[in-house]
Amino acid sequence: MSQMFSSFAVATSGMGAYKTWLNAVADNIANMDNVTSTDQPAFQERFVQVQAVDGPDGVGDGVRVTGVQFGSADGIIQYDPNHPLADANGMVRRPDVSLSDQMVYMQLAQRGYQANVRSFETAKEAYESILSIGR
Amino acid sequence: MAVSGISDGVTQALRMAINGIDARQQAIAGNIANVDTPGYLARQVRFEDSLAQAMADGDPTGADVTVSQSLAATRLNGNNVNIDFELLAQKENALRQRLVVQALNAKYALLRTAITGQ
Repeated sequence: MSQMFSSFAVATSGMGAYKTWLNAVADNIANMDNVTSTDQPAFQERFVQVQAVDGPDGVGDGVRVTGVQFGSADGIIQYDPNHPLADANGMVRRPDVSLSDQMVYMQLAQRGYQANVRSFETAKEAYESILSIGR
Repeated sequence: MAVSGISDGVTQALRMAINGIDARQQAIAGNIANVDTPGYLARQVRFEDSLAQAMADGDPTGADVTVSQSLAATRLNGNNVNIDFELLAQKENALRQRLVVQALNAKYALLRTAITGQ
């Protein structure tokens, strides 16, 4: 038999994973215009990695953030001769972060988070009904 | 199966049903938590057929809860969770649970009447 009130933990794990994703997206957007000189690496886009957690009874115990992967440190080389960090050829390095991609990820993460909150609320209703047994 | 006045086949069957519904609720919560996890296959919980069979055999406690993976088509990331279906199933499951709880409460109310005579 499953643990008591386990659906709360499952929904919470989902909220946590989506919140981590949202944090990563916010970080990517905050750093998307970091200019570096061409001999320095560019800011690397963060990708959150997750994995399903298998429960003992096969029902599943939610999701877990397993780590973060980084995008290209090469970035994009741009011609900007007036920039103080520009090299002898007038080039600077910018992060290869696409704002439109980040916006899409942000929507996905937000909706995913909301779905898990809904899941939590439904679990709460169900448990309240269970607690009314014999009343 | 011990047939006493307090725990008869009906309450046992209802208890097994709550067990199954509880497992399904957790599975649905897990599916929603993993709606974007690459390679995750939605889990489905079945117990109704087994419970019906167990009741027909006269021992509701012999019912099993089975968990299987959905065979639905996967998206590009190898995930096949359908969020509309899961949210709907979750609501339906919660309603089913209330139904079973009400049935259990009705049964207990009957017992209480028999015990207290009021």
